Amino acid sequence: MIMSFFSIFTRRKRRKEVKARDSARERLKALVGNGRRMVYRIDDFESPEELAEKAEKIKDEIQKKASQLFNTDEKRVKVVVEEHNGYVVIIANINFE
Amino acid sequence: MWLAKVYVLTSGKGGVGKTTLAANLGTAMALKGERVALIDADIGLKNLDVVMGLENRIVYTLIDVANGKVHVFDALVRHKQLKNLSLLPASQIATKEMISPDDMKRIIGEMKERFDYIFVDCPAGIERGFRNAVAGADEALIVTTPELPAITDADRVIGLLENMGFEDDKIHLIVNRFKAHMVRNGDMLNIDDIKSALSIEVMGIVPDSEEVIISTNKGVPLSLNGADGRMNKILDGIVRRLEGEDVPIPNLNDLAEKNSLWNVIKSLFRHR
Repeated sequence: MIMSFFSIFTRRKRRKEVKARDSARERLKALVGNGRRMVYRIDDFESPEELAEKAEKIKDEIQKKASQLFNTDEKRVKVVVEEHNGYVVIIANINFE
Repeated sequence: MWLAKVYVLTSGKGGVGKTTLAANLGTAMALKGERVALIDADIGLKNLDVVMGLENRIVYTLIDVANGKVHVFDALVRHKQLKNLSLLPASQIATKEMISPDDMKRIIGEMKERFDYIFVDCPAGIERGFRNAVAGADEALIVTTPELPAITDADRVIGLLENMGFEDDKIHLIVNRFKAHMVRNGDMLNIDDIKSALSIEVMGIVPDSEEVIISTNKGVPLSLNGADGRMNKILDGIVRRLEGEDVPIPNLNDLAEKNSLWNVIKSLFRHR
């Protein structure tokens, strides 16, 4: 008897559970709120010009070396230099078909 | 001279429906008489040809074009029914590193004169494949579902696009697999919640529908598969907005699946 009396309150409490939308909205605000978006930084280079200059130099060197090693035309060696949040990523495609 | 407008469909997160949307928007656009090309930039995990039902017609791929083996127009696969709709397929055995953003810019540049609209299907992620896919695009369609992981990934992608020089008015949002009944019950984020989190204009809302699964399995895009009027109307609305028309975004009632008596009777026979 006493238990069933308390169970009424338990059910009422359940009904007041936080809705998924409200919880998602709060979490979304915390995750992406205030217009915060990932911004790339260039840490190791003082200026984008310096990065571009060095990228061109390394591209030339890789093209030369790869074309010698794989016995292919320099034009068939594609080198891309990208800067990802302070990391320089170099991707070389060597087409020696 | 008219040059094609190039849209990239991107999301960050995988499985939100970029490929299906690219196929359906391209088809809906072609049905309006526009010359449309679809580019599958998801090298290694290509699917656009399968969704379009063109997987058996591929001879050359994007990689063959990038390597100068064939001209881009020799690699295009024309749709069986819509002659003004073409696909530039991706290779399954290649990797995303075998193509560069410069290659994509050049290829898209060559295609621009022959088409009115080009849709680029971007792979999931924000690495090389993403950079390739967005390289030649004029505008971006960010596809998300109304769930936190998809929205937060969309937010990162928007940030990346802004850093890459895309203006705010060139980045649009499409909310896919929207469930009106869940929004009504307070179980899902609504459009205003998503819009205010991402701070970009909504180009379209696509409701969750079994029709999409059926059409994908058949390899026939929705507009050609006799989809229900609601889905056709929604796709047509997005296409018209892309063309610059001022078409209102559908409300919750428009997006809800109608359970009319006739539909219930039809579904009973379908199960048998």
